Amino acid sequence: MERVEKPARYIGGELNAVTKPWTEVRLRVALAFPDIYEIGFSHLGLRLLYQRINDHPAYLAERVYAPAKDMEEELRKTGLPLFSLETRHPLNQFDVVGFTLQYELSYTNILNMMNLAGIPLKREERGEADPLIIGGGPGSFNPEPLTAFFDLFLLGEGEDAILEILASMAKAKENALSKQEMKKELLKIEGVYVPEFYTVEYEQEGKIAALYPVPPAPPVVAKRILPDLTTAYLPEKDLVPWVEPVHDRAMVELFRGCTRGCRFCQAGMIYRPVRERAPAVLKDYLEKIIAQTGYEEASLTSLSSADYSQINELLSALTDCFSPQGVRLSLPSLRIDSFSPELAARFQGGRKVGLTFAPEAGTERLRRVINKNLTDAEILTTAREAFAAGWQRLKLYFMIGLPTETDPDLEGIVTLARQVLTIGRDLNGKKAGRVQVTVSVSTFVPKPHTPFQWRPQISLAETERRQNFLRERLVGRGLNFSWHDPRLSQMEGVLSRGDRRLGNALAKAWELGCSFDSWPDQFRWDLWQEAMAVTGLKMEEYTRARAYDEILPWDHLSAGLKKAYLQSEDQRAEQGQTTPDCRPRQNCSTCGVCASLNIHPQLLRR
Amino acid sequence: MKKIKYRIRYSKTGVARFTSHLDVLRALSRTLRRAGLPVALSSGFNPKPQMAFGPPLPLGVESEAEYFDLVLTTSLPEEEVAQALKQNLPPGLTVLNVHKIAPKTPSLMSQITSIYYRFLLKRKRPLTDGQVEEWFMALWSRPQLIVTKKTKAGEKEVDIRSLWQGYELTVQTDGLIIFRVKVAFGPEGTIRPDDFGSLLATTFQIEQARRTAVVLEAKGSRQKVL
Repeated sequence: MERVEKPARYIGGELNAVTKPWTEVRLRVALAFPDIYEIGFSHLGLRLLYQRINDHPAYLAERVYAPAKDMEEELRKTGLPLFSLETRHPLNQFDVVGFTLQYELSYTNILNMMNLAGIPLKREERGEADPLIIGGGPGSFNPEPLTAFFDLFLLGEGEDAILEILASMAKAKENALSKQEMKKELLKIEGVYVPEFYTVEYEQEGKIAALYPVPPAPPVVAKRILPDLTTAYLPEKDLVPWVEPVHDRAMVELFRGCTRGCRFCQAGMIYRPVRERAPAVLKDYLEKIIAQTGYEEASLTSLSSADYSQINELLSALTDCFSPQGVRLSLPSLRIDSFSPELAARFQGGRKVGLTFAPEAGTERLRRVINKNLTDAEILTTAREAFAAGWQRLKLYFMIGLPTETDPDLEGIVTLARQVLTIGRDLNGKKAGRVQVTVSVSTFVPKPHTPFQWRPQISLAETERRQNFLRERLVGRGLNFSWHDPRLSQMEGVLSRGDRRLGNALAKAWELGCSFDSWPDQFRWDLWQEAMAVTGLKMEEYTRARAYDEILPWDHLSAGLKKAYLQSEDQRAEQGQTTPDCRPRQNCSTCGVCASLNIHPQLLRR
Repeated sequence: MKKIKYRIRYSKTGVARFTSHLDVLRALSRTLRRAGLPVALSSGFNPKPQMAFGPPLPLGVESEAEYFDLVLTTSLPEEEVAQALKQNLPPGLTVLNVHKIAPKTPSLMSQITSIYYRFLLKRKRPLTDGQVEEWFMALWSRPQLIVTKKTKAGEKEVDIRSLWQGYELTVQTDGLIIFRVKVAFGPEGTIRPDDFGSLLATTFQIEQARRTAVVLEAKGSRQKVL
């Protein structure tokens, strides 16, 4: 332990960590996050599931994060298997290992963690004594590249489903059912996808010829969803880490889902409909958790926090309660059109370090295409308000490679950034030199279950050209330009719309030494290219445009969205037609989620 | 607002030894909020509890002599403060005692003049108990003890002999050796457990290291300490 950096990442023993007697429970679950402690610990979903499972007397849940490279080296050198934080049991001694699939570039880490734990990677190589490997999170909506390695995936919200899965497993275990029989039982649970019960046939060029279920599996697996967030599970306790995680704070979700309908946004599509949590529940929960954890910050999370119907009332109530204790509030994911200096000042605790806004695209035309309907005037007004209120550093986030984007749209980014800079300088007078405007650019990756799921992703060369276009123009005092490594975006795009054939490439890439692919300093483009070549696959097969009538690898998995809706949104995008926010009910865009899942948006009165 | 100062001694044992000094600072400030003590907060945009700490404990070293000073806005009995902390500390940290101190008491960093450490050692080569004693005697008698210290500018060779104030040796029946040392602490420097690690490296392996006591002196103050 003394030989590794930050050994406290591996010791567990955090406040409120749960250690149950190993032999006195019916089922043991390892919750695994395929990245280092600081990142994994920050993830709210896994913390919820951890408490949820441990609340049940018959089960225990322990945690494991990806060991950093130095720790991996020590484990391999000493022959120690990857172990859980709480009781240091090797992962292969658990009944279930659940991985959260938050981003595609964490997939090689999953394989690496299984290997470090002595668990055979391929499902068919595992025996009855090996744990059931399950996955959840947004990646479950197209987990096809992972299907060879996993036993099942849960689509949608897990806090109730996980208990049903465990109950079914516990019963199967007591009846001494084989894994195969157990999975047949698990199939009956809503939201559970068991990939071996689906057959995929391919055409010559990698297109799918047929995709069909094997009885008794349903033809389409629909996501799990909680009808009411106000009565939804909230834990009594929360962990307090030793090592400082990326987000070192108490967190609670204001709402799930989003009504805005941005066409590129997978989260905005797959987490529908919007469900707001009652303010009294939020306040009671945070008061309890702050008192019991001592966190100095409480974060109100959601996909667009200022959209919460009673945001001002809630913030007033929370400020009254927490200010005297020296507890700050934070409100991530603020939209430009909902920003006000009063709102921002309230949760930033008066600090004016930097503000990030996401226009996403450089021109009004392209913003209409993606249905992020902000005018230039709105953006500039917000920038003016922010500068006037005392902020001096503004970051503007954009995507390049959005459908229909041309060079004038890129010019739009430059123009907007310069206009924002000019406003900031004018308002800062003598201190104009301190004003900094950063343009941050990532590459658009088309995601499954979005209107743009059929769209091509721009090539590596084209990404580089567009980045250079911006880099050459975004020069001068006060202007900064930052960009994502385009090769990471290519790989993300390949995995994001990947199919089962990619499993081989994934295994090969891991074998060649790929891990921590989401870390630009660890990412090995050369090894990924080699892995693709060796397994006879081309990146372009995955980043290409798809036809509407093509069978998509995730056609048997449903977030409740009608394909007709996604197509019509895609066509409206092409024509530059916007679709209104579905918050007022008369604006329902008939996406199909509410009807197919028999659910309603849950909105508080304003 | 009243300002009542307390000096708290606590221990750090078990796997908590792998947490860093900064980890512990965060953990203690959260302990205070959980304990609901009337802590005086610093002013500014990010009010923080008014706390001051003793010398950082190196990673991997246990301690039964960690200290911090804390300012409360209400005068509470020492026992009550101790109880509130005990009930709220994270696993691995334990309060040993709490004393009220005068408001003008100098800081821990300026008052601590020496630190005691206890090492549990394993022999790397077969030495008799007598040879072990001689080995340490020889080390103690050396006019110079050069170790390499990492500084911001790179590595630096330092003679730590004058900072080593004494030692005591016990050979256990199981063959393990208890090596206790007293080292100076102050502006002239200190000897870290790591430094002993490198001095002993040829012959002994440190199995366990623990800070056992500190010497507090009321420098430049007429206040009686503790």
